[in-house]
Amino acid sequence: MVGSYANGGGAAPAAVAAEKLDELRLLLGKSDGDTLRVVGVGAGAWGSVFCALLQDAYGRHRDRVQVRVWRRAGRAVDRADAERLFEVINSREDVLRRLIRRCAYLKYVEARLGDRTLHADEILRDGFCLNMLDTPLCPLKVVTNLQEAVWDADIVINGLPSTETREVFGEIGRYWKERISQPLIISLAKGIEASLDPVPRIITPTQMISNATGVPLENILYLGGPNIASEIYNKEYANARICGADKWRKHLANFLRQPHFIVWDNSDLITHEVMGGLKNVYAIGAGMVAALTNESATSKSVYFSLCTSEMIYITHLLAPEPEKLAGPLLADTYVTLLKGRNAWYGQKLAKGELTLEMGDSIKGKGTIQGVSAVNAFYELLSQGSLSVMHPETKKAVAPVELCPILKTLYKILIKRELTTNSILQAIRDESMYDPRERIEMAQRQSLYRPSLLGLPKADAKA
Amino acid sequence: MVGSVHVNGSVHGGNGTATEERLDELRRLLGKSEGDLLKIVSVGAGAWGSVFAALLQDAYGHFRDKVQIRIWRRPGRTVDRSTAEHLFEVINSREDVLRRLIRRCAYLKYVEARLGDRTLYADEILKDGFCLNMIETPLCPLKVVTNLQEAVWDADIVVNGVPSTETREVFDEISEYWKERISVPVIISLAKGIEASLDPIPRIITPTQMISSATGVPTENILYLGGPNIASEIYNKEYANARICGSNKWRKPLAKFLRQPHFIVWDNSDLVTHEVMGGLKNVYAIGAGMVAALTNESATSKSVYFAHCTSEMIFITHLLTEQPEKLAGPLLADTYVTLLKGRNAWYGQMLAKGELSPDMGDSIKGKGMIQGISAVGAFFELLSQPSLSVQHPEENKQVAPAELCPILKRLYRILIKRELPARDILQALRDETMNDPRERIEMAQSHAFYRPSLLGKP
Repeated sequence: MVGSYANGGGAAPAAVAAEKLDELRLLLGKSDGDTLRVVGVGAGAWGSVFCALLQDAYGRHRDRVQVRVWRRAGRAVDRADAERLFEVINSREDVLRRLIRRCAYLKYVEARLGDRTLHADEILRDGFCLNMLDTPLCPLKVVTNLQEAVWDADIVINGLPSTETREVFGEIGRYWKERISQPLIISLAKGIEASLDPVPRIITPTQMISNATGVPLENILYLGGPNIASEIYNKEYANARICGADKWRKHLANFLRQPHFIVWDNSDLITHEVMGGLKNVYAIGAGMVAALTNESATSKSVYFSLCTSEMIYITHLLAPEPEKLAGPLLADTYVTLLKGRNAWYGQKLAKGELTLEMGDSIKGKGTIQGVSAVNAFYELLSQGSLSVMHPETKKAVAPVELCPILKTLYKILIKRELTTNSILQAIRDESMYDPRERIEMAQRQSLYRPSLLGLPKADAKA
Repeated sequence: MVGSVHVNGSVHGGNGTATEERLDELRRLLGKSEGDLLKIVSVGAGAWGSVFAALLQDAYGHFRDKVQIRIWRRPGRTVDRSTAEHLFEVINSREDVLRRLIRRCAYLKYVEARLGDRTLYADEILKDGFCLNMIETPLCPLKVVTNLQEAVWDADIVVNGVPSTETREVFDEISEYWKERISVPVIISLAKGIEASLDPIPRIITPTQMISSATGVPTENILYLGGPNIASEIYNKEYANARICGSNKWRKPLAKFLRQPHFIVWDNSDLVTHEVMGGLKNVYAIGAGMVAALTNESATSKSVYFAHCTSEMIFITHLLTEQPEKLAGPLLADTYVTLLKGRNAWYGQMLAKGELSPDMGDSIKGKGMIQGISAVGAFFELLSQPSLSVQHPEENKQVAPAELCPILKRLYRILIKRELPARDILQALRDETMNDPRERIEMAQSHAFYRPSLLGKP
């Protein structure tokens, strides 16, 4: 890893950035005068922040790199958001000055007064993400035509929800039919799908992207990590992990790393991508518990103990030598349960401020990926063909029978036959296993099912 | 495990029957005959010790001919004026408490103390259910004894609620009173601190080991109860779980006896490891409090800290036990709550905000003992011994284990050597050269690190 930045080195950060940029350009075969084109696809909170971080770090080298964001056109900003946005602008002197200087301020006054309708792509050019209005970003180059955005991109950042990844990259696949160079794709998406035909298995966003575009998996990476986008942009110290093939992951980790944003690398793309989705499942339950017990730390710890033991159990089904949950996945789980969209959603459901009928895309928050992930994991782990031995009854059962929290979340969120209070019943069931027993069982039995991640048995250790 | 014993809408009789059955079962196991009271004594009246005694009193206290629950604390601790004023507010804001004190003719002394006309004592208010470390949460009235000999001489079960730093001293005194005992008592320890002994070889001394050495009670009769420990939440019926660790003979019957609808107790045979881990998490809880205060409760920074401190904890567990993965579940839950809330995390926050300083010592008014401080010293000194050297992952040389635990090192320099300010904890997180926490875990799992001698095992 590079050494730490020297204190007070005024020119050092810029020089270091130029070096890192040139190294990546070299690796991608960019010659002088040929701009490195980085495109963020999708403008949710994390996707927008990710592009803004790159723009802040490298944007001044205009002859060497160009950072763009694609988002769909037409999304209107409603009156309440316009009023709030106006407050944010006027409370931030730096932002206000910038808008005045760019002759871009008056449209916000008009919108505040209800005399004009703003659109999401319009405000994003000024650095305002509709899902994160309280945290102004730097100005961004926004493109609303997908073909124009991606046709010549060198690096594409997938900032879409997983539920839109297949559709959008299907379209991108058509624009890339005649491409000569292979692009790099970094996916931030955390949701997963379950496929039950011909065998039960998980479909991850990176697999969707590879299927849709034909780009080899070697060029597709997953970036996971605690994901409180506004905190990351506000320079709170954060770490993330880029997972993928040897060829690219260390170089990209180096390129993405900043003083307040540490990026480590890992070769295990699939497990990290799947776990990124799994923790959102349990984050919803954590939010429910927090709301129902008035933020009781004691009840949260009981929930944490039980849900991490289920997660460990599930990882043993998915990976031959899963990382012990302590470590990288743990930090993600910790922050996702503490704060974040999915936990927030669980709280709102428990307080009755949101209902399931409102769907899993919430204004001001974006897609709650945990909801579809509950369904995917539940359906997958319910398949009889994946039987495991029940520790007490000594008979074969589907794995989901040993994951009471997952079952309860499924009944609350998908089948909707239970209320949120049932989550407390699930953790208070005296007959529930000591979480340690589930972990021991996971480690004792041979639980690994390569087919769950679409791997043939022979390549289990690859 | 037993099925749920509490049906919705159960009548008092049904509830009493199940509870009485558990009491009778334990009495039988301890050889108590009709008319011979089961005597349970809690030694020490910190928050958790007091709550523990109160839970037992609430659950079993009405069977007056079968069980007696007492709590010992030292006499003479005065309640200062501001605490008396605070206590008066608490009493008057709780109708049930106010009524109870009036009914027992015990109210007026609090008025006098509020006005500064009278000095109250900690043992005095504890009789009415007020723990000096937990004024906000009134407990049920308790039978308080201030004479240690009178409290423990004929006890069947002793609950150790004193801080680990006082455990040796108190149980040495208890052993004087127990010299001529015939029956061997059962001891449950709640203490979470540890000591390091470097002579003749580096090893950890746990509170249960101190108790066994001091009293001669065999280890088989000494158990450790660990778990998330926000005492006021447990008394307020927040759902909690705990783990009782010790010999086969006693741990299951005691788990059953202690279990309540809102307090689940599991059992485990590995006494020493759980007791040590209970102390280890308090070390990192102080750091977590510092990070929370210095970053204005940033969840992102907390997660970075959590990844690093848990990887250090995992590394240390590999030195202490052969099968550390078994700790993954319970250790995580305890770590989670200890980092979120609790005395040690609170202390770290106060240091970082400058509202407390290390010179004030590790016993804080209104909070009790901050066990994490002495644990930092103990673990660091132990893991600094060259005789425990491990291979450094990058530099191809042998180093003491402490060199691979940068957070522990920094906490030692902040809290013990006092050569760094609290904000330096952030430097430990922000050092780009710090190892990926995954590397530390992989290293721990790939080498044979286990050092049986650290826990006094052959």
